[in-house]
Amino acid sequence: MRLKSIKLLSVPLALRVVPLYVLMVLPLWASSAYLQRLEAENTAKILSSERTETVSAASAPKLKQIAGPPSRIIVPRLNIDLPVIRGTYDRTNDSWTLTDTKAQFAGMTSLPNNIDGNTFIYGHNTDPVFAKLAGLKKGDIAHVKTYNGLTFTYVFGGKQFVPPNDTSILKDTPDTRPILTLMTCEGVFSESRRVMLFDLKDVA
Amino acid sequence: MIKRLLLATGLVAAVVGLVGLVQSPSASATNNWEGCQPVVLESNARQNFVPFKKCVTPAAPTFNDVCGTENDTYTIPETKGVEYKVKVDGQWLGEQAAGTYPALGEVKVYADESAWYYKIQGEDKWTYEFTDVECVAKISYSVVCDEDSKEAVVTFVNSGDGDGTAKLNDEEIAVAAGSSVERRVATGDEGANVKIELDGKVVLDRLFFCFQGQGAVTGGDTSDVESLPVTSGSAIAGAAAAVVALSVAATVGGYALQRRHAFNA
Repeated sequence: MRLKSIKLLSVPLALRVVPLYVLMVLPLWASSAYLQRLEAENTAKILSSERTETVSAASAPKLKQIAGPPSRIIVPRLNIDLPVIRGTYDRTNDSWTLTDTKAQFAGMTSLPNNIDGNTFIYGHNTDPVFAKLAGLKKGDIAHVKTYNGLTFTYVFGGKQFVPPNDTSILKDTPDTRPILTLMTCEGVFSESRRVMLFDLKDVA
Repeated sequence: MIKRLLLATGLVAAVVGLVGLVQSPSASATNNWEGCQPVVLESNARQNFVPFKKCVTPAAPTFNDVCGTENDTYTIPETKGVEYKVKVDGQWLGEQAAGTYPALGEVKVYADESAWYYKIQGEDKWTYEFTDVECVAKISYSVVCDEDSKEAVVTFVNSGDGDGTAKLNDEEIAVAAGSSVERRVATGDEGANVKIELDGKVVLDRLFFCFQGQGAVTGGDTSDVESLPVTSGSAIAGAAAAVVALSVAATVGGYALQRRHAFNA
């Protein structure tokens, strides 16, 4: 027993740590990725059925457009109440505006409005920002307040996970009803982005 | 001595004479008055009397054929030793001095020697048929925000060759060829609609906000975005953090085992 202990201690630290890491971390990682894929497949089915409905909304009579730059996002059930600043993309170094305590509105996407478009708000997957969004349930409400005193209310419809280079989720949705997209990262062991889609309910 | 000197001088004179003969034009060329003057050798006095003409190459006239016919012109250049004669639509206008003249129909320009001792070489006749193409306006627009005044600044640019019009919120705006026109729309805090019509088609009809770094309500181009925001650590960073955590755990565990081993010993 004593000899065995001495032999174990004589093994270099790196050789002790690496197999331990492989045994512990990799299965965790693999199972996480598998679960994400399953969840994404299910969400895609839900979203595709919802898209069919949105097309018919285009034929509705045209309303007077009301809109405003977002100043605050509130998700009451999850106790999220954050200021929103305008986020910009710097193409020279492929980076975005990102703060530790606020949400960012992607400035090249649509402003919250009552006609059409995709309002894209993102934030860190940390407790003070968007970590609680993992607990969203279908039907949850999110409010976006604007600098010109409007409050847009959205209803959570579903989520999906996308790779970091899937920028299609930023695209506008012309001629369909307006949506709100919230985005944060999936977690420490994943580069996937958690994308949560909301439909506009009303404007006050 | 004097004899030798005279002999040497005579020899030098003979050599110079021979060289002169060699350098002078050949007998057949000497009688050709239509030929061009060769390179002038300043040291050779005989060159001044060689009866050759001075060759000149006329510069070509230019024809500026723009849309319509009102602004068509041709330009006669200046070339020493050359006079230009012009025929417009079959009518002789005679010699024309260097300058720009209005054009119409077919213009023929002929180059002639201005004196007997010049000879034209190269092209000496040019013909151009002026066209009557319709002038077309080519209007583009841009809308940018002036955050200080909360106004949408609409600029129309006409890069075409004809005057044109554009419509901004149903107001007709004249945009002359090659010029630009700016208009401002106050957006305030509630936003204002910007509707632009070009060639009778609505090309923009959007609500604009010009404060808090915003422009049009509807989203812009996202095609240059290469990746989404990094809203947490990357996978590599996560793995690195896990390795560090495990290393610390292994070191602490190893140290504890060592202590226990030492205690047992």
